[in-house]
Amino acid sequence: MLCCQSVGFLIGVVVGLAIAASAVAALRLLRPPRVVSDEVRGLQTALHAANGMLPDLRRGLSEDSARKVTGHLLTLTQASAVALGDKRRVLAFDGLGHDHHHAGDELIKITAPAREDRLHVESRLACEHPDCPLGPVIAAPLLVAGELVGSFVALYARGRRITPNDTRTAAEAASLVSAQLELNAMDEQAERLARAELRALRAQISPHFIYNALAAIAGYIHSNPDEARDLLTEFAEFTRYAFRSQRPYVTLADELGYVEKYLRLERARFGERLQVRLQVEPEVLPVVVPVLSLQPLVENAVRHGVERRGFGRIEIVGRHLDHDVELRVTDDGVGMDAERAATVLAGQGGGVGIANVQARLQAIFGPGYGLELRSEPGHGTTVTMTLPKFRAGVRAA
Amino acid sequence: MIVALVAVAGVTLGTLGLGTWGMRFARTTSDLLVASRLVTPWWNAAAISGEYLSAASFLGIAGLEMQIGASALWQSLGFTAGYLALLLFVAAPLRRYGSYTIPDFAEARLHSPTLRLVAAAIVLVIAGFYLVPQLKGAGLALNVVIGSPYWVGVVVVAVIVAVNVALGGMRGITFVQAFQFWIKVFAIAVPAILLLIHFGGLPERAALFGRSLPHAGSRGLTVRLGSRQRAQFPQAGSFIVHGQTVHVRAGGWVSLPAHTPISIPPGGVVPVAAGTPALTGARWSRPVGGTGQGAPVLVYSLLIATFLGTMGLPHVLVRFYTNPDGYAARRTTVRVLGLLSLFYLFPAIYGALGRVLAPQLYITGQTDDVVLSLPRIAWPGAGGTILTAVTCAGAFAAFLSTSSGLLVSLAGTFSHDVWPRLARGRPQGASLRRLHFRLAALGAVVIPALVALVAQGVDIAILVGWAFALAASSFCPMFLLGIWWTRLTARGAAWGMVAGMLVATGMIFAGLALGEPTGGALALLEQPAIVSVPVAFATMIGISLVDPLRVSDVEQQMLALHAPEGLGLRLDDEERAQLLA
Amino acid sequence: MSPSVPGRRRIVRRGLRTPREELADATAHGHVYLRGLQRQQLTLSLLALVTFGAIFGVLPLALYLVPAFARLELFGVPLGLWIVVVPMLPGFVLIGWIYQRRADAADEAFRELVER
Repeated sequence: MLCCQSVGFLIGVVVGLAIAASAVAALRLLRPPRVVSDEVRGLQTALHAANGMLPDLRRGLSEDSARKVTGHLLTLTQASAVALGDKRRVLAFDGLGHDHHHAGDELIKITAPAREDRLHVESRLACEHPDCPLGPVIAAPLLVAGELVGSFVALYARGRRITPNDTRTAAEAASLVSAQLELNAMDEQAERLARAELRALRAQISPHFIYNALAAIAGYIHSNPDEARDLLTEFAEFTRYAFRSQRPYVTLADELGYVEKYLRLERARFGERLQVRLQVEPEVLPVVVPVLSLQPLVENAVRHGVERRGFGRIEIVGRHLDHDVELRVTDDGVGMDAERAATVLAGQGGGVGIANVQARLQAIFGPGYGLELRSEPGHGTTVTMTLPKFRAGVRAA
Repeated sequence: MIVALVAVAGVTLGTLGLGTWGMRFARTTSDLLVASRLVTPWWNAAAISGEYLSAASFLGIAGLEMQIGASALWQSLGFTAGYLALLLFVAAPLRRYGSYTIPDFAEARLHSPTLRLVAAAIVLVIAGFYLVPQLKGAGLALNVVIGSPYWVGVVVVAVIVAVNVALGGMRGITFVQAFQFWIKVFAIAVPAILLLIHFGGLPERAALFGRSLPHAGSRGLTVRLGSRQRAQFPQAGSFIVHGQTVHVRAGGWVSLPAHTPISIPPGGVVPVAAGTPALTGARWSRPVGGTGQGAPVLVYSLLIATFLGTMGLPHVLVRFYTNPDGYAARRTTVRVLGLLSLFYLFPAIYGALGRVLAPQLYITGQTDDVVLSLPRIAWPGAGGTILTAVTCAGAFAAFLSTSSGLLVSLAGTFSHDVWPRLARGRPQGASLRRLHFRLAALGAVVIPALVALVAQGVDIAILVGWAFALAASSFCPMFLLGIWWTRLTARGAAWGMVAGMLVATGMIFAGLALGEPTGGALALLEQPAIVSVPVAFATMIGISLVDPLRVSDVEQQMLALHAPEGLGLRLDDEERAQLLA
Repeated sequence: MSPSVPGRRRIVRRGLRTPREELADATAHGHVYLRGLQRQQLTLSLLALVTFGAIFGVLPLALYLVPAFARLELFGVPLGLWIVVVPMLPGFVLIGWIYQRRADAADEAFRELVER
């Protein structure tokens, strides 16, 4: 009997504990997120300040960029004043004493410049101004690729003693600035590349199309200004997509939205003479594709299938086939013979856009994927794009 | 059973037709408005539930409940709770990562083509294990519908599914699968509700909920067996065969002849086929009992297998790809929980009613039939016939959708993951991949069909439980650790999965080799998850910790898994102004 | 082939870095943010797990150790059956729903934080 009682007691305890744990967890789950504590808020402010400096510092160390970041550095280090200098001069000064400390002053008027490998600490700055409120100074080196490019100077009110925390903070702030300056060197390289890429992207939206689209919109301005305004908005969105150059990959839903805008602009030109049929299974919409991979195919279909005759019909079909996705763009235009079709994908003789898409797709997904072109003279052209549903590292931004 | 045949044929043809003409669901317009056509969470949830609800849910739970009583209901809880685990730990990160199949994820997350192959092999095993009970259910169902031998149903459904998948039907179209879900809910709910209305509530309370042993009704009971059957009288009773009355003492075994009417006198206790427990009293109505499958350790093992195994089912996971983003993946999973909760209210009703109204299933041992034959047996006449036709049609919907999904996973894994490794380096065009897929679909159905032919005696619910146990001891640790732990390495993941698989399959086959589990520790062989899952986790963590070869870009991986969509994509005003300028 | 093969592209507009890039560059900064989000999400998941897991986990044991559940009845149905089926299934949905809202909110808060 005693045994039974103790078992019952034990069960009670276990069940009670379980219910209590469940209730506590449920309460925490239901409770709105706690208000941020002071420490966290301090951290956030610091992070925010650091974050704010990054874009400016990435443009390199100049009077302009220095002036923009000293305010953030002041918040970050909690010093009374801060200065950024190159090897000789003060580039920017912020905080106490800014009435008589200016950009362009000799750095030596404040402190000896920092050296590559150590902080320089002085208990009294070398200011000759009689009412200067500042006292102790920490100068930390700014390094790019191990080479001294300037100094970060933190200054404190007269009479304050520098603590190890201060030196530590100043050193960290300086290394944050250094790291961003270092990235700037790389950025310059990358920016040159990006400009080249943008030129290429611009080349992908054919000037032919831009000219025609704008001409069509211009035609509406008098007859139907509202329509013209709508079309112009579409055109702006259209170009925005093409210029969104930091997004190499998008979902097919996005790309189709872009094709949609493109077709709407083409409709402005052709009206009812351009028939479009779109059959896309919703399952293919999350597939990730390189930006501007479907649109050139559609544009090609419009140019070769519709433009020459002045009318035509375009069909876009998207299907999912277990691990793959298949997109077909078909026109009912003049078509071409097999010989010509073979050269188009290779990039010879017209269809630069298509060859470019093929090259990009195969570079990303391998030779098993990409475009296939089928055409017969007089019977239109079909371009089939095959893509995998997933490829490691290929993600929509 | 013409009505049932027509219903089954209708559902089958409807399913095939929808698969083939499913393209029509993709709207044809000239104004596209792509965004509005993304699949909504409700559609997706119904599609996932449709793919998920298999023979085990439709037939197995009720059949097991007839045998072991209330403890069978843990299955419906576990099958649902699995989606809670999926929701809490996997759904959103996995969708954000973007991978389509499990091998996709394994390879990309840990940069190991070898791991892809290991994962692919495990997909083949799990999907194969899961196909067996589907085909078994088909064999039983066709037997109920047209009285064909068991093997006919297995072969017919295997051929239909394989040919259909090979021809490109059943491409897992969301709307078709969602439609299948509602067919299944309708087919299991409506007969149950109508039966309860017909009887004016729960009938014959004496035998219900195991208060007494299954008895013949007031007009006696007559059965014909397809083959000779050994059966045991749990209490003293009698039966009439060839005009002779045979009296049997309590616990006595008899051998019942085939192809001849065997009668049980009115109110007489029903003999129970070998291997079919017919629990009574408290043992039936207690969800956790002292022995058998209701033993606490087995219940826990089952709950672990289903809770953790759902996230590793290959055919279910690919469905999450259709969600547009991580938020939608979460929303979808919550809706799946709701839809499954709705469905799982009903199998329990069949199990409880079957014990009272269809005691002949204890004689034949085919308790997995109960959902199919209960309406016909319990309600003689047109009403019962029509309702049986409805449940048969629903069961076929369950086999077709689940086995198609599994076969697509099998064939896709083979043509996409395994074959390219065998044909090293040779680039494969899209058409060649399609061909491999078709051939694989035809070939992959063979082994599960053969296993289904020999596994007639194993309960559907047990067979499905194994597939869950395998998934829980291989893919579950890989997902949980791969998503939440930065330290996981390719080698750790591979060995962990292999260890989990080996322990689980080893225990299952040892159990099969030893025959009927006699209780105690041996009974665990039937539910290996409680052993194999910890083994898999421990191996994975242990080997990862000592592995010097860490994943190099783990920060990027975590970013891809956890960062919400749309970061930095918001076009700010400055950018817009520049573009418009 | 044109030089537009997709790879990492720098933004062309002067110096403005999107928060996404901050994270994508795996700066110490991005690390702080990402780990914060990850920990927050894991906490939410574990809280939801404990909320239902403590009850769900102890239920079989309680039903096993307290045989009275088999004898008691409610509307003619054993209490054990009620306990297994009725509160559990809606409970899953409820916890799932609460979790989903919390997790979505955490993601949204994170987005606001990094887009600040």
